[in-house]
Parts: sequence; structure tokens; C-alpha cells
Amino acid sequence: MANLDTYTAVKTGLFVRIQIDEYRTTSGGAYSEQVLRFSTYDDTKVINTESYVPLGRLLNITSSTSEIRPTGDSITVTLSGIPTDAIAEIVYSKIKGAPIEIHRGYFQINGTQIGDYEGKFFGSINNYSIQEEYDVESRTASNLIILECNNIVNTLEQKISGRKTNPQSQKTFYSTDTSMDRVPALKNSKFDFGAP
Amino acid sequence: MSFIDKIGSFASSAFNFLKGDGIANNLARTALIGLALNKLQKSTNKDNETVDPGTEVTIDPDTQYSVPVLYGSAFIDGKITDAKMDANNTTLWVCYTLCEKTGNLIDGSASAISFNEIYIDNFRLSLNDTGYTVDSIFDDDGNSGTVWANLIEVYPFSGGSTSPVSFTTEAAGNTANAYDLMPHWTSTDTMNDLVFCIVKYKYNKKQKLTTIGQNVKFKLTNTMSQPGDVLNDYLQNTRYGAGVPAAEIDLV
Repeated sequence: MANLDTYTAVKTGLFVRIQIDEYRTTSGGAYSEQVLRFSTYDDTKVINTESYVPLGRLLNITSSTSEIRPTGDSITVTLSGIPTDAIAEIVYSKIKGAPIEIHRGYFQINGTQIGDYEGKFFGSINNYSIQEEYDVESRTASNLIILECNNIVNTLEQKISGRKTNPQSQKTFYSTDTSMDRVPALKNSKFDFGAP
Repeated sequence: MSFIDKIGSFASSAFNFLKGDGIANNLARTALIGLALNKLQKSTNKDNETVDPGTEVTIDPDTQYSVPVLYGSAFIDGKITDAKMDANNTTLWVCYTLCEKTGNLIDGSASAISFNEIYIDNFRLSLNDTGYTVDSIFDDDGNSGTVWANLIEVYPFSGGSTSPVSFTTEAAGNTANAYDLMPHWTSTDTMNDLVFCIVKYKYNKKQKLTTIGQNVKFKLTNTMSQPGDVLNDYLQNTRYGAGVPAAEIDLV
């Protein structure tokens, strides 16, 4: 972690990177890979040659806990001020399951970075929801996109893997393997071993 | 006339009576034939009672059994996933599925699971020169016997039907594919990435092999035993592990 002892004032920024493998802007459009990068910082920053769009107050990320042992955790990323005509990009793209990385950076007041960027959260988007904010006076609407994210440990805790001794399970991994096909029929079968 | 002469005279008159043509003579002959048949039938039934009726063996495999993953060295129970008896009811083939075949070590070399020992009903089996036929058994106290000699054959496989292996205690072993051993298997019975063992039981009442083993255990050793290798394999494996991409794991 960056040593902040010698600084009387610092500012921080959270940098979010979401990699969406199947992204499109219309319901019938072709999918393409799209990486969304944005931050709570007040200026564009480049991390590993990738530029992060400053969203400032339009981006809110809930707090996360830091523990000695790796534990399951989840956070919520809220993007506000989304114009209505941009909602289609969210609805028609496959956002669920997309990996998300959040790094934190420390900066002096003049913008000089202190130390390196530090990992805050690594996981994937578990679900999302959209909330509409309608302004009656101006008769315009903007939207909130709420991304619910699970960290990797949480995802692993929910994962079930392995195979069972039945044909369905075996064929999930090896579709032409018939070696487990007789297991159900063999249940409670009797053999007259040694009978004349 | 002595008493012997009297007995001889009675026997002669009785014989002459049976040879006669009268009703009484016929009845007497019929009664004697019936008595003889009765004796013969009783004798036949007695013979039938000594025929061995065999043993009714019930096999109940578990369709919800999760195939385990084995690292290092351990004893493991076999779970029956197939069985077949030959036409004359004296040979029973049983397939015991043991565990998953594991992936590569961090250095890139393939892991290997070897068979060290096999126990049937708490008796350790010793094999003859073939490497798969039992010649003696040992109990926990080291006492040996040859009661199951040549009645049990064990064919271990590590990784699939085309991967026969030998017990580490034996110089030789089976080299045939599993589907060439199990009577009803074909080349599509591949048992992909599974460690398993086929056991052939030959019925013999005199040598007290009248059923299959109720408690079959195997001692296996996986060359993958170091914590780093194990954790890496369990994280990456898409079949039984977490399926984490290699790019997301820093091995340095």
C-alpha cells in the first residue's frame, strides 16, 4: 500500500474495468468485444496503456472489506446519468458474468500519483438492474444502472463441479462415452452367482 | 432239521409265492416294486439336495456418487459401476470406479496414479507372475493362505479403457484394453479420465469364493502430492475443479 505519511492532503480514485465479450448496441446487431473503463477520478488516467473515463460523482461504488483470509464478498457499482437512448446497449449486451476489476489510486492535490495502483476488487457481474429517474419539469429522464458484483471467492463458493457415476453426468464431459450407461439399470440387480 | 434249514425252507416258499400267478402273488410283487421305487426316489432326492444352488449377489451402484479426486497416497473404496456374469454363472466381472485422473504438475509434466495394493474383505491380495491373478491372501496379522488362488483376477486402469497399468509390486501386468476384457463392453466404453479396476471372480464353493467382495479397497498413489501442484490443479481443472483460467493464476 502506498505510504501516505508525508502527505498532508491526498485524493483517491477508483478505476473500474469491465470486459464484456458479447457487446452490441441493438437487438439484432452483431456481438463484439468491448472493454468499459471509467473512474471516480476527476481526470482521465491511463493504466497499462488503457484510458479510464472520469465519471466523478456519476459513479458510486459501495465499500468492501479487507480481511486476512480470502472471503466471499460482493459490491454494487452504480452508474448514474445514463441517457435513455443508451439503455439498449445495456439490455442487449451480455453483461452478466463479465469480469470486473476495480483498482484504487492515490494522488497528490496536483494530480501526481503516489505509489502504484492497488487492487480493490476482482470478480464478475452477477446481476444488474436499471432504475429510471424522471424529471417532471424538464420532461427528461436519465437512468441508473446498478451492477451487482461477486468477488472470485464468492463465485468459487457457489461453483459445483465434478462428475457422478451416471450416464448424464458422464456424457456432459464425454458425449460418446457409454461406460456409465448401464449404471441405472444395474441398480438392485441380482446375479445367481454359481447357480447350476 | 436245524433252524437254518427252517429259514431256508421259509425263503424258498416265499420266493415261490412271489413267482405265482394268483392275485395275492401279483399284489405282493406290486408292493415290492413300489417299495423299491420309493427307495430309489428318496435316494434321488437326497442326491439333489447336495447340488450347490449358488449365491444370489445383489449389486446396487450409486448413480449420485461423486467421483473423488485423489492427491498423494490414500486408500479408496471402489464403487461398482458395471457388472456382467458369463452364461454358465461361474464367472462374474465387476468394474470398480475409483477416482478422477488429475492434470499436469506446475512443471508441465503429467501426473500419474499408480496402484499399490488391493484389499478384498480386509484380505490383502498377492498376485502371481501374470501380475493380475491372485495366488495368495494376507490378513492383518500377516497370516497367508491360498484359498482364493486363481479365482480372482484384477485389472487396473489409470486414465481410461486404453490405459492398463500394473500394480507397483508386480513386474508384469495386464496389457489388454478394458473393453476387450469386460464381456459386454465395446470401444465406446472408454471410461475417459477415470481410474478404475476390473475384477473377475470365479465361483468356487470349496475354496469359499461364493460372492463378490463386500468391502473392496485400493491403495493408490498420485505423483501429484505437493500443495502447490494440488492447489494449481484444483483451481484450473474444468472437470472437477474451479475452472480458473491459467492466465489468472500467478505461479511465480
